Amino acid sequence: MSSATDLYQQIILEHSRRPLHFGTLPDATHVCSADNPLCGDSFRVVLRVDGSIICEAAFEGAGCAISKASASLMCDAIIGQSTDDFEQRFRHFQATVTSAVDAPPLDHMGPLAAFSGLARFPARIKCAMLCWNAARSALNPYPSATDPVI
Amino acid sequence: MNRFIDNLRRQFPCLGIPVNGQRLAWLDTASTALKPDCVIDAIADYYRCCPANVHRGIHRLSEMATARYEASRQSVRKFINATSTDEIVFTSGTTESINIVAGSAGQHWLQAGDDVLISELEHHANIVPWQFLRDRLGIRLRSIPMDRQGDITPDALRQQLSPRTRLVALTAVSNAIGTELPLSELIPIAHAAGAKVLIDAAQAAACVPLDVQALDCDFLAFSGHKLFGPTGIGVLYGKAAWLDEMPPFKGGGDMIKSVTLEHTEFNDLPYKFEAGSPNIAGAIGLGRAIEFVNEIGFEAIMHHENRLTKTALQALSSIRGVTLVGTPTQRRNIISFTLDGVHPHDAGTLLDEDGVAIRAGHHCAQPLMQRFGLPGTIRASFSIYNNDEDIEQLVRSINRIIRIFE
Repeated sequence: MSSATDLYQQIILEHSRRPLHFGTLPDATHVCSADNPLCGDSFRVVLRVDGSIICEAAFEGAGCAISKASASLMCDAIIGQSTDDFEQRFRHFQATVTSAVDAPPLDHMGPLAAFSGLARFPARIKCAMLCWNAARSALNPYPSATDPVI
Repeated sequence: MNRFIDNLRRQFPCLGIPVNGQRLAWLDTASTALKPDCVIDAIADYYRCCPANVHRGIHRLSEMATARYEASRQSVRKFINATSTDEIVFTSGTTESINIVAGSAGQHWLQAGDDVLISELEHHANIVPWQFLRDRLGIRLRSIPMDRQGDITPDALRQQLSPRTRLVALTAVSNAIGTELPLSELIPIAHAAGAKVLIDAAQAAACVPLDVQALDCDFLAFSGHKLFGPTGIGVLYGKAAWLDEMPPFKGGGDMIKSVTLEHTEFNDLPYKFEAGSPNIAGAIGLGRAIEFVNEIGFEAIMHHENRLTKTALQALSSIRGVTLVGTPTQRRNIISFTLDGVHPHDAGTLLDEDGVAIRAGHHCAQPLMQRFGLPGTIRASFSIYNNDEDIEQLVRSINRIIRIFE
């Protein structure tokens, strides 16, 4: 990806206009809000976890195209995954959006690959990570001090 | 005029450096103004020729530094027409200036149950220090509502004044939507109610002439960096009688006459408020920036900025999908707007790709944004170095963004 225009690919625009899993879950087991005071983005991520499996994921709130599309694609990617899988995907996605050099292979990232190259826009990395961080906090409210937080 | 502006533009080295391969359209002056060569040179010259501390002058270099530092104070005095340099305190910026008044004057004059009155247009710098004071002293912090256009009217002020209003702290020009407040009407009303008045002139200092004697404000705060000067330097003006009465805000070197382990005799004005080695280069840079403004003159500045703002308002209003935020009666060099279906930050990223620097977000005025029911806006602001090409570049880029998000 070379330009900002490339960043606003159809997939990101689509998911920001008509996000998947937008709403709440009546029987959520895990909840965390996500706010970016810098731009006023404000979301709430809810999960229903059964054992170690994320059975459902949803989000609601308002924000920019990047944060909304990222939340939409995240929910879609983590439903049916184990919490360990989530952690792996989280780290992979984080590496993808923060990596100034070539990110690791993105084949299994599916549509989330649309965010590769976001590192060129440091001010926007927080937008892409906003709901991922919220989901991670919801699953693991007391992360160890060594965990990277973006 | 065009040649005059072209000449001016050449004095701003930053304008000659492409951004993302595009010519730079700097429409973010309300955030910070670009710096002309003369200011950059004045700062560099201090560090090259006399990088000594001030007011410690046994040696020649300290005398030179002190002379330049104090000459800047004199320039500031003339710039805002204060009666004496005793009334000019160098600070780190508007934020520190307001914090000094809140922390020192507030503590000195206010007590639980007293009112401090601000307006809905204020920058966080003129909100948070008063909230601190409210939490510390138990004062009441009240705000004057703006009307639908984004104006603060004399009537709105009158309605919020109470017998307990001790201080009214108002911006001169809204950094978020460009409203110029009718200070010459508002200040006498506040005074008649027995309140002192602080003016946040951070946004106004570079676009309207300020005369503290004509305004009769008790305090006035502004920053160097919005006035073509460096960051980290600002000014607190206060009427000498008030500054004299106020306790110092910070303790340290330079603000003292004598110190024993038990007791300190404070220095005279304005040094009482300038503890520690000051931002000497910053003050010198600010002094040069003021001279730069004086060389151009406010008549030319206001004429040019008014014309650009009017041109941009017309151009933006004619774009379908653009909604102006705030339509103040008297607007200065700032236009805030939204784009249908496009978050301001997404617009900001794409405008940047086209070399257009604007501010996207809440502009450190969240209460105002909440009042408009918006997370933020896109804000374009204009200065003496902007031209019609900048506005054309902005409009082209906005049309492109609308097409991307269609």
